[in-house]
Amino acid sequence: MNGNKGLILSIFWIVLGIVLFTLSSLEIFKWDSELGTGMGSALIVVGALRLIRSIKYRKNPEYKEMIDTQNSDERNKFLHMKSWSWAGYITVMAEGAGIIVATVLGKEDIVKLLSYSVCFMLLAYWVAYLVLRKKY
Amino acid sequence: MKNRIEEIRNSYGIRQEELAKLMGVSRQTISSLENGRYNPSITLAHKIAKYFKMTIEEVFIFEEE
Repeated sequence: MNGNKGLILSIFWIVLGIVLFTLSSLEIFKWDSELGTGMGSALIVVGALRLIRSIKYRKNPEYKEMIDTQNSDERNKFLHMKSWSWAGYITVMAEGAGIIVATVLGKEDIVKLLSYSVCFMLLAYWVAYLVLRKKY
Repeated sequence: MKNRIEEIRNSYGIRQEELAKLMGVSRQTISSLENGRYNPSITLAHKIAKYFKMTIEEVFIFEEE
């Protein structure tokens, strides 16, 4: 995320963070104010970091070149895809193990939740596979 | 898939960073290619071969698995 888009998005996160923090601090809405202020602060920090990166990208040609190369580098894209693939496998395996453990412990609600999650992921995989099969 | 990138690059006297810049990829990509840890896309393979004024087969050695 670079250039104007990155700059606008980082300002958006900061503004959203300030709004969330203020509303939560003043307890205008009936929600967990600590959670709200925490989330607001986190958004402000994330936005500020992105803003710094965005400004650096605009002002520093070497940094811009490095980021552009990173974004267009095919190995980087491959690693990105592979990481998502691994993350998917790990999640399904961990949830499978969680289902077994929760079944042994008699935690039916957790078993149900994890089972739905595994089913959803498998469904998402098949939908993605069918869509991609048509595309490529 | 094996390749002769390192050997050819050395014969041209250019560093990994320079080749990476010319190919529009990171230095790590060139390093991974040379070590055989990463197989390039046909586009990158073509670009590398073209830069060295060779055919893809001269740079990359295809092996049946």
